[in-house]
Amino acid sequence: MPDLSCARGSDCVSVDSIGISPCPGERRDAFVTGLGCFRRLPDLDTWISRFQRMASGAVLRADQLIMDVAAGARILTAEELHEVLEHVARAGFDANARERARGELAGLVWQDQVLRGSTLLPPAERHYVKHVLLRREWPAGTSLEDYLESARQTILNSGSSVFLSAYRGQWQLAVIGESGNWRGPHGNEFIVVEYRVETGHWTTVFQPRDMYTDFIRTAGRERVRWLRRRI
Amino acid sequence: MATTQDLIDFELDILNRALDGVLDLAEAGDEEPDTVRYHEMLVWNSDMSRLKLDLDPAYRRGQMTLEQQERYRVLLARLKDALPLIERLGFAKPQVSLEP
Repeated sequence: MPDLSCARGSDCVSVDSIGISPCPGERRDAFVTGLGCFRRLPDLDTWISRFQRMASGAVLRADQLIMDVAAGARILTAEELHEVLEHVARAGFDANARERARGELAGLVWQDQVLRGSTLLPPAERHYVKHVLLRREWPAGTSLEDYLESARQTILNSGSSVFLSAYRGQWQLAVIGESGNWRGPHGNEFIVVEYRVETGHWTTVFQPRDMYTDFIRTAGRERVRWLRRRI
Repeated sequence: MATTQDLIDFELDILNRALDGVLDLAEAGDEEPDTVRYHEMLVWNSDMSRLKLDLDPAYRRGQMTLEQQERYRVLLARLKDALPLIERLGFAKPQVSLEP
């Protein structure tokens, strides 16, 4: 059983193989386990899923490589970068999470139901409805699986750019690739995919209007470290 | 092929929906996970770029129909009213004059 004592609001620490270090992020929501430091996740299923995945050596290694780069401890070899990107490509959106459609998607029809602001959707579906069906950033006729596959292809394309950054203490890995044939009538030049280490899933897949201003230089993004730069 | 007016109609619809979403998010407060707020912040950045690079120039250059001009003025007024909430969220402020 994980030690949840620091979930009661005291300072939290993580114990790892090299000693003791503070938890990143909001400490009130952090707790420690033998595998590292975690924020308290919004629901138990998500926490269990994350714990199970972290118990898998392959998943832990890819995220550890990312955190090593974040700490400035190493530079990845080409093989290690490929390993990290394969992991990120497989991660996808969190299938156990649910997001509200909110006002922006209210009134749209998805899977034979008219969405309300309170309708709960898996993140993959919410992002698809928003960016493909509503905003037409992807070509007409793009299916949910096509949208997800375009993200995977962007991540795995050796012509894509990759960087690490921290946003409010959360380390994230971003991949930027040319949209090419995935550019819809209201799409833009690049597809961006971002993965958050803490959650082990994608946080976003979309085509920003101005990639530099809207994405790379967004307020709050810090400590940008390019792992591969093609732009 | 979409006309300029079709494109403007689309952008007006998207920006208004985006503002609905931001207002909804502001009302939700801490109920929404940080990952959701982060994504919405990025997309809002993009929407503000669309406003600055596409929609506002179309308005200033007289490329909108009269009906679209009125819709755009209403959008600017909504954005002006929403500024306190946008600032509270820490989202990007419009980079165009909110005075029509």
